[in-house]
Amino acid sequence: MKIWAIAKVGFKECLRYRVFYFILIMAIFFIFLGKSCTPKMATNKSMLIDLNTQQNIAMEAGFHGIIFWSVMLCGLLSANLLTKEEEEGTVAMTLSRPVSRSQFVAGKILSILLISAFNLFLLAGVFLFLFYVEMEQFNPNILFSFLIMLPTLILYCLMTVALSFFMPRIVTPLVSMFIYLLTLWLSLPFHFDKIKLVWVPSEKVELIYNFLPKFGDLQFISASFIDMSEKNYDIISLSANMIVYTLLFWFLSVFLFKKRSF
Amino acid sequence: MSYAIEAENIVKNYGRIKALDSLSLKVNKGEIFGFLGPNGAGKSTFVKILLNLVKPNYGSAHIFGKSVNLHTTRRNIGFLSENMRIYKFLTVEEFIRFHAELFEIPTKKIKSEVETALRTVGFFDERKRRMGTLSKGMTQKAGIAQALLGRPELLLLDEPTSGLDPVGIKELRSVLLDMKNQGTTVFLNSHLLSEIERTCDTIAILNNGKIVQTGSTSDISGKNTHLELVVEGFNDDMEREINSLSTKNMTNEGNYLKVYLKDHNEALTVHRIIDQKGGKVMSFSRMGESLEEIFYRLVKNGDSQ
Repeated sequence: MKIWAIAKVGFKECLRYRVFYFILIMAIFFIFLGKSCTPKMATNKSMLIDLNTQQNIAMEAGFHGIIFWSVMLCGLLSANLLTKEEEEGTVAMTLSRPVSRSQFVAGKILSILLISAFNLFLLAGVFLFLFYVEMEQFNPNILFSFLIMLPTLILYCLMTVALSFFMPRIVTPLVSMFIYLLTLWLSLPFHFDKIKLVWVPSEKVELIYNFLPKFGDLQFISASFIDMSEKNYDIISLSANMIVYTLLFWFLSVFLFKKRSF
Repeated sequence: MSYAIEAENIVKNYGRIKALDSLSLKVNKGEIFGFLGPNGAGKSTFVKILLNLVKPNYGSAHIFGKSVNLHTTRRNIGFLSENMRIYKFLTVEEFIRFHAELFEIPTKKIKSEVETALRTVGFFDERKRRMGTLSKGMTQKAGIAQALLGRPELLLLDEPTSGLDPVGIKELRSVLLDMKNQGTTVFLNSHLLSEIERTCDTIAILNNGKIVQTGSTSDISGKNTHLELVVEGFNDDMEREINSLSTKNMTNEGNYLKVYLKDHNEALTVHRIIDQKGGKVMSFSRMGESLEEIFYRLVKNGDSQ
């Protein structure tokens, strides 16, 4: 109940941030861009790629665009999550109640997850609607793809919160986004064989790829559900990586927050 | 016996600055305890330690026998901060409701508890206003309402009268006395000496992180009673003899004398000396030291007892 109370207030607070609406508008703009690539809109008459492939490319472009902006929103909000409370002194009033520090962190993180999930599914709804109107067909797999992305948002939020203890508020979302894009880039050759034609990752790159959180893997696997393309992935190692990093960043955040004085 | 608040040898340093220096304190259940001290004496740091917002470098504190490190200890505490930082986008009602949820008040009772708290401070009609639009005094009233939620066993109030008008101060005094009558312990951190003198049963005066005086209001002012006399024909002979009976030299401004006796039974001796030396006592009274005088003496002159 206490965690939920903190999360509700946090959610309301996030709805007041301009950045939420800015990112929402940007993401919708990108969905429209993706839509412009759909078969009916495309002017490619040479048929070098078939209509189905064109459709999948458009769907995946839209999907990745939505994920990018959702992750960006999650990072921007998470970077301010605890530091802003600390700077404004609101944390002291909440912690003067029978609320443990871990409950407080859990409540605040839940608020970010709620707003990120709200943003993600709002965009997914717009995305599905536009493609349904355009192509008169409904692809339910896309909802499943977005659902799979929720653990990514949890991990990304926790990673950003943990990083926010070590760096200024303005730098934290940039560093988080850099790590996210790096994992995305590093996982490319492990998901797309054609990339290996131009880039065979060295052992060092493979080590870094395995060492970092596998945001990229999860995103590409999620995207594969849209076009139902087959992907070879090790679900156990991917789950283990996500779980270990989620727990690591959770305990680190709580540990560091417990050390703080207000 | 378990006390409402029990602190032992608390030391808190901020870098080289010693905010609290081996502070030990006991607050009995059911009393109104006044915690006095000049700015920077360490009062707020002590309150923050009680709420586990700040960790001491050394020492321990317990509330109703439970360590302040446990978050469950705060189930019995209502807290009001001097500079209450709030979520400005919430309405007064949402703000109080939020705290009721954090205070683990059962869902069914929240509505009635919120209403009771708001009515107690006379703020029910303002419940739909956003916290960000309230004046300092109004914010303070909302803060008092949230502190009263669920009738806590201990109220920690940090400068509760800050921003309140005289009517608000009077109403708050009545609320505190009412809470006391119902068995609530009140820990009052304030600069308003007259308010402390009127309301509190026990007082502790803090200076430079150390308690320099503690005791009941009557005990503290009784310790430094003195004689105030108006005498005609006062001379040096009288002064010499009277000073031999005193803890410190008497002060005199014209015919007005202040005599600090070692033994209060010697008051009549002073009268006799003046008579014998040819003086005439026009008025003679035994006075206690006001809290303001005690505070000034202890804090300004560092004269601890």
